[in-house]
Amino acid sequence: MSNGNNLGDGYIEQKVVATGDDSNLMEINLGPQHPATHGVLRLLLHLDGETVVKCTPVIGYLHTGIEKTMENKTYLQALTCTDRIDYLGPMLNNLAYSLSVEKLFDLDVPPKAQWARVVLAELTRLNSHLVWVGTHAMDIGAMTMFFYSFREREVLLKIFEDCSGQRMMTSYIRPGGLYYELPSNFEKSVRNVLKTFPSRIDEYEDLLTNNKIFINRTKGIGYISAEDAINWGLSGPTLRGSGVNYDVRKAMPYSGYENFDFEVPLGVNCDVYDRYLCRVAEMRQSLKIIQQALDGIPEGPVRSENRKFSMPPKYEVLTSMEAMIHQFKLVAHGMIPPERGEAYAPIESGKGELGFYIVSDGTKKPYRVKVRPPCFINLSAIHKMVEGKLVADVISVIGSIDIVLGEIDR
Amino acid sequence: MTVPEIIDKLKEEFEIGILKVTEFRGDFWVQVNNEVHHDLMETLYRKYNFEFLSDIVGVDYPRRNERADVIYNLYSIKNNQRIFIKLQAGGEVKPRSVTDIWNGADWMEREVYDLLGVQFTNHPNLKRILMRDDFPGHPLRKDFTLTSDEVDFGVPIRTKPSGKGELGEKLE
Repeated sequence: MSNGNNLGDGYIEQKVVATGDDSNLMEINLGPQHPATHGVLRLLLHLDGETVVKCTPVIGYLHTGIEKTMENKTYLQALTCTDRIDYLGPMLNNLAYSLSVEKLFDLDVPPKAQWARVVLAELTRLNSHLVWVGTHAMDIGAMTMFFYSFREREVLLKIFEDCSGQRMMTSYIRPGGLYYELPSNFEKSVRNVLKTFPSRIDEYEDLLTNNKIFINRTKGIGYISAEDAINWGLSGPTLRGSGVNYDVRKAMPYSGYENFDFEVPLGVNCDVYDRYLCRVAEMRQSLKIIQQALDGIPEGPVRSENRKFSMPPKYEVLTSMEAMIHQFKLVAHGMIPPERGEAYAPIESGKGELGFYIVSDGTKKPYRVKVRPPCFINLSAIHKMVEGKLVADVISVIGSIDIVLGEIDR
Repeated sequence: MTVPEIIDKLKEEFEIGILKVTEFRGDFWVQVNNEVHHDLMETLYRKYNFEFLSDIVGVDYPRRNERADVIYNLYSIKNNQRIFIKLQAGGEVKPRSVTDIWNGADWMEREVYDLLGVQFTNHPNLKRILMRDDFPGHPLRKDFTLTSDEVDFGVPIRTKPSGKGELGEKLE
């Protein structure tokens, strides 16, 4: 049995094992190149006919040592690595990292930046869920969804591009606020999203929610009870699909989420279909939050005025000696935390509880950065959901826990 | 019951097992020794409703004998509280796995073992998880260099013939 992820094998054969008691079992590799595994996920399945007897995920194919890299960069440089962790939710990663750094540095964030962060975070959640709904439906056989959701995603990516110059690797939310003023067309383009998206989500629901094939493939599949879900450390819609009311935005509000009126959709039947319903309902709630945040966005600076940690604006650098010194110090030495300490500030990302545990030794580089990866932990319980079910159900379950291999392997 | 009150109760119960309590920006860290560690985790789970193991973090301090800090990030969904339990491990000190309390600890402990080389006892399947099985060393240790070492791909890779194959030239 070759269940080690030994790259030396070159390729992995599908083979029938004929040893001892397991003589009827077929050992088969799902992935790492299968399109329905959402990346380089390899599942080692032991099958009895079409029934999964044992499912062992083998991961690490995309391991790039992001945590190690972050330890060797300054606090601001390390921010760029966070985009690459969960590449479908870059702003959420930026936000989680920035919140932890702000906690460590005791750094304030101006109100405008807080509200803008909420808008951007929710847009990113929409982006993440759109990719999920497209790929999940495509895995199950509904090809159209994919084109629809990627059409809408393009609108969101355009907004990110206007903000930061990048479609995916934004690095826009930074410790102390935002990198730069919001673009002049920001409000207009977000209002456009608010106007068009509700009907688009209706469209998705028309295609899927009452679709008989979709229901057959998802209802009663991938069951995990609430107790198990908590015990396995699941979070996000995967946990809430089992009816557990845990959303970091409500439990430990950050960036002013306590000011907004929104609901946390919960599932009842603990299956793939309920997770689907949760995520779709979550998209509507995101729009609700964006609406409120956009209406109430205050005027003011978007970066902290604390010049020890936050870069002064260019006009100040050109006119004030002090600002120039600060800029020089920040560029040459980086941000140096006021004291040693450890900080963890979780957020609710599209996938679950995402947080960066940062250990500082008082130098310009973080001593240790540990990502709390929601996908990694959600995936660890996959065998609970698929064992005893059919092979085809494995595909639905992978889709329903919404994994991004960039975050699992880091 | 607030987190400081829980910590006071724990102090009464475990006395010298609790080495240090730190507070930083509103969060609490309880440093414990390896003798009481597993009992304390079980108490937190059963008595104080810390039913959600959020994460296990390993931090390497190469100058120490017990060279790793293992930090358990516990959360109570019911009471909305977070507490960090810290343990110095490594060398002779091998913490007992908490997989019997939280199933989710399985992969988290495997990751700490894989990247930092902390051994856990009683773990059902303590194998590497992110690195390949025959990878030498533990990459998140501070003495594991970031660059300069040749990367071992595990398979013979084509090397350029001597005197040929400069940048931009086509190889045979």
